[in-house]
Amino acid sequence: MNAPARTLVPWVVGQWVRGERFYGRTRELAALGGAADGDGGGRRRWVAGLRRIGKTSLLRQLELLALEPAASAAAPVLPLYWDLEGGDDLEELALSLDDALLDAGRAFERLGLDPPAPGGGDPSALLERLGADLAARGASLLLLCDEADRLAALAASHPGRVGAIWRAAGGAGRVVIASSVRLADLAGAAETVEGFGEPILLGAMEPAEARELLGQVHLPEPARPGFDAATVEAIRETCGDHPMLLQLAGRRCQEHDDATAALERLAAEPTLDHLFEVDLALLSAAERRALAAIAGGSGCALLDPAAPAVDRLVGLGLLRPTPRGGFELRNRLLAGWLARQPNLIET
Amino acid sequence: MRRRAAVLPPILLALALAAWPGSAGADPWYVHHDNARRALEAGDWRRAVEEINQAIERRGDSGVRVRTYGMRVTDYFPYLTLGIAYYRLGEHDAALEAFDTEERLGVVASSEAARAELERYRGLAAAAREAEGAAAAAASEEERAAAILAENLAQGRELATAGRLDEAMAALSRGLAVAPEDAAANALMADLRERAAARERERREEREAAEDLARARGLLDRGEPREAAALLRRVIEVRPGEEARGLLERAQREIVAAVEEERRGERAAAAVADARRLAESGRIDDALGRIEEALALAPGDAAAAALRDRLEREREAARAESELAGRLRSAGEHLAAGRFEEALAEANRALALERGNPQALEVVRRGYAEISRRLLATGAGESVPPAIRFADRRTEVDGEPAERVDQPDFRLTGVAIDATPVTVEVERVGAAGGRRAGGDISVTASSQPVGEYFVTELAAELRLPPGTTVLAVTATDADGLSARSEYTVIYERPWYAAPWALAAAAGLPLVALGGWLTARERRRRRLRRRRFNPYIAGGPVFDEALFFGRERLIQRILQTVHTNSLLLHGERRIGKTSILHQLRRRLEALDDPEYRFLPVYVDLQGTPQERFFATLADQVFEAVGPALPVAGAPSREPALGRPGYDHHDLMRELDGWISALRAASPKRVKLVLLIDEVDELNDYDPRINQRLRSLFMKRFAESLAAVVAGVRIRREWEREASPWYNFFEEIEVAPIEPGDARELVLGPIRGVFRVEPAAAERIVEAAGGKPYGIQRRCLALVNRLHERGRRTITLDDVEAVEREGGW
Repeated sequence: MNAPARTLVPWVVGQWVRGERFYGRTRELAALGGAADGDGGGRRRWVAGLRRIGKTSLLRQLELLALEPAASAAAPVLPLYWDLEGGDDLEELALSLDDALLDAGRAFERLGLDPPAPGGGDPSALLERLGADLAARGASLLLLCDEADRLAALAASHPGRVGAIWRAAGGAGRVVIASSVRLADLAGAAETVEGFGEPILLGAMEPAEARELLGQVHLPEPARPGFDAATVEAIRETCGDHPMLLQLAGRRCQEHDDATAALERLAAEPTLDHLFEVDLALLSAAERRALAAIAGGSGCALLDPAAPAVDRLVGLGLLRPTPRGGFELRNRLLAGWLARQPNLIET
Repeated sequence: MRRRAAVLPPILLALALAAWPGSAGADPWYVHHDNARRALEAGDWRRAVEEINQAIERRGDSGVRVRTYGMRVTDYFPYLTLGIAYYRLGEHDAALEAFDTEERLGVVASSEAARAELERYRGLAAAAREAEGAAAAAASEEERAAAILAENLAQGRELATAGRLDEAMAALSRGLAVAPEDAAANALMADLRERAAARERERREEREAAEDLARARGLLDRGEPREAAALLRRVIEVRPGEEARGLLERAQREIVAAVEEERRGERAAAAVADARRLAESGRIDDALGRIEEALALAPGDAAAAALRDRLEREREAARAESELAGRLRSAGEHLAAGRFEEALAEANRALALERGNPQALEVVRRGYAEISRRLLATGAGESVPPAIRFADRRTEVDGEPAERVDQPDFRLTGVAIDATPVTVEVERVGAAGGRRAGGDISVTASSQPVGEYFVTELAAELRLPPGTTVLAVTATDADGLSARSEYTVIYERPWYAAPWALAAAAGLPLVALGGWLTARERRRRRLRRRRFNPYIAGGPVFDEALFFGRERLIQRILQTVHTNSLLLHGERRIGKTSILHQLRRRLEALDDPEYRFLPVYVDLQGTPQERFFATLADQVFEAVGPALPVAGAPSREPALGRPGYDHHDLMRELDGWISALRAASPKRVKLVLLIDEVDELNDYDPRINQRLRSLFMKRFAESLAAVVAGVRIRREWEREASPWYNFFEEIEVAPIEPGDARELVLGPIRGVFRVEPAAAERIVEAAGGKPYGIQRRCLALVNRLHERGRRTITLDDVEAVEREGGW
């Protein structure tokens, strides 16, 4: 059979990305900054955000940056991405660390180091051994923990175990955890985030970054979608520079000739219902009330900018200040959805 | 009645006597009456009759308180007494007559006691007489029944002996109708029934065997030997016969042939696969050998034929390359050994294979230089004529060098070497050596300096007549010196190029057209005879020719799957499984410049969660194992055979396989899991889902994608707590477009059956554009045509199938 003519679609929806498919987050990478090069404030950093905002991709990008030769020329770093999904069970947590070590095989090879023997069932002991091995080679650990919400349950059921893990990891290098914004409210959160300080909120992309993403500027010219500037701006405004929505909208606009119609159809997709429902459930009651106030005020409202809820909503990329001192929803898709869900806001 | 008639005269006589006065005084009535009463009391019934009759003779009328003698009175009911006496004697008719007489006389009505007695005895007498009659009648019936039975039993036996069972049973039935309990008749009837049943069974078996034989014959004619054999075995078991045995042998031969055919197909496929592997490893000749095997086994295998053509082209190219190398090597050896003429000849052959080959040109230059040096050894600086060397393919023919060809178009190549560029002329030479016009010869020549010489590559193209042609090549240099060489070529015209053959060929298109039409009709008939029905209803569509209406969807997936995982959802039988299979085929065949796709089809139906990861691992290995580099593919124990195999084991294996595949391929590797019946995951423990998702969080997930298909999306998947939350891009699998649906109706049977346009529209409409519904309806409709021996599906057919629900 002849191979059919195929136009590859560059958009990625659902799966994590890094490298050439990763766009933006310059500010966040700088804030985590030293994580990759061994410098920057604090040995423990916490990234929080809503779902599908790009937390995993951010950690994977940090991992990739740490693997670049220039990043660790002076002080070699071993990045270790650890998926904590299922980590509310101690045994499973230990096995997931074994998996993470296997997954980081190339990083170990690069340092000429064998991964510590798996097993033992005690992640903190294993991390201590790893720290010792790394220290012997003048290297340090960059532990990148995803889905850190799961640890809260473990901290609640096994007090002290999570703290021990952080101590062991901190002794070996630096730790970055990524979680939902809800982590602070969970039982066991105190031990889980102890020493991590205030979270860096991962929200909307910067406008320039969003434009780069929509232009797919990392790809060779012929592989780029070739949206005109007006379409790019229309997509940005519609999606509020939300990375997943930008990808989704980019895809829809590339599939259909009429970008306006494509964006209208996107607004009706069930995927968005699911996304917004879940996002809303992660917010506090005050935050939901703030959103309700804006949704009820034709998209903008005068809120107290000093209120923690407003501050966090801005950080999460849901609100932005208006020139007249009010706030508006940054994301038109969310605004449209909220307008259709008044009861959900109230509850 | 006779008895009653006999009683009447004495009564009348008694009445007469009673009326005669002289008789009473001598023997009074009351004495006899009294005697009669006493006789009754004594049970002397006969005497009572006699006495009362005497009384009646003397006094015939009844009376109440009738004076007897003196002042004595008595109730006198003589007929009542007579009736009682007769009743006691068992003469019931006479008794009843007497009672009636008493009643007619009327007096009894005035005596309640007498009337009651009369009624009582009359009732008794009547009942007795009735019983008597019934008994008599019964006795009479029995006699008749016995006679009927005897007659019919005899008749039945006689008919049974004659084998006329039905008639015998009919006769016996008449006998049993009057004597149902008769043992002999019942025994005979049972025997007859048994014999009749046996005979009926035999007849039925015979009829069924005949029908089965006919059906088996039909099945054989339709090319269904397996079904025919099963039928014939049943026939032989019941009614062994030569014809059935003969047909069974035929069926078995055809089954063996079919099995052989299937095996040949499998062996052919294996041979083609071998050939591909051999070809990939550069063993072209071995690959062609295997391809020939495949074609011998399956002469119609288009893929094998295409592969053979490709490999032959490659071999030819390799051969030419090899020949060129050999010529160059040989030229070099000749040159080194001082055999300059031979070196030039070989170099010329090499140039004929590859114009302008620098190595060959260098040999020519050096060879010519040496020849020239030798020629000029006595007079250096003098010009010499050009040297002409042909790409020589001549052999010795009748003692002379000549090249034999079987095509009229001929190309002569060679070089002319000189210190200056040369002009070249080519002409035909007549049989006697005279020159002939060479206007039809196209000559090209190009000179290029090679060292201190010019090498002029020449080529002459012409159309040869049959027989011998001598070509004369003349090369003239700038100094006017020329050289001439001749080249003889013999065109041996094949028979089919002869004029008579060409004339015959002029009529060939008509013959071919006729042949094509005949072949087409034969094919149609053959397909119809074999009950050709290409539609598939129930199973997934593997055949690309039967896969309609999903191209846009497939393209959408192919454009996406390199970076995304997808969820195909849609109602049952909408075609999700077929799409996954077609995706597998398309991804396998996809020659993408950037990605190497390795699709793995995984059907989760019926997979228990305990075996999920092991099943997945084995199916992935089955697909990627052959692609793994030998060094990276050690012998592997199936995961299903390893107790406790879990997602950590799978992760390790996947990591190893993907790493090996990446190392072995210059392209980006993408392992695409095509997971069918993903609804099974809904029923798994959430942790299993979580663990499956964790695979996609690993680094190797950059080389991993999933296209999953299911009926419903579990609501929990849409929730934040779900590991799959917003992981997949969802695509709904909807009914196919009307145009595609019509093509699905028409395409598979095009050229064999026709479909009225309205019928096609109706099928599409009734099926709602769902491929499964269309296929099922078409399946039923084609079967209907076979049954009715027709070739066109009409609207009536469609409506009939809709009514029957035959789809």
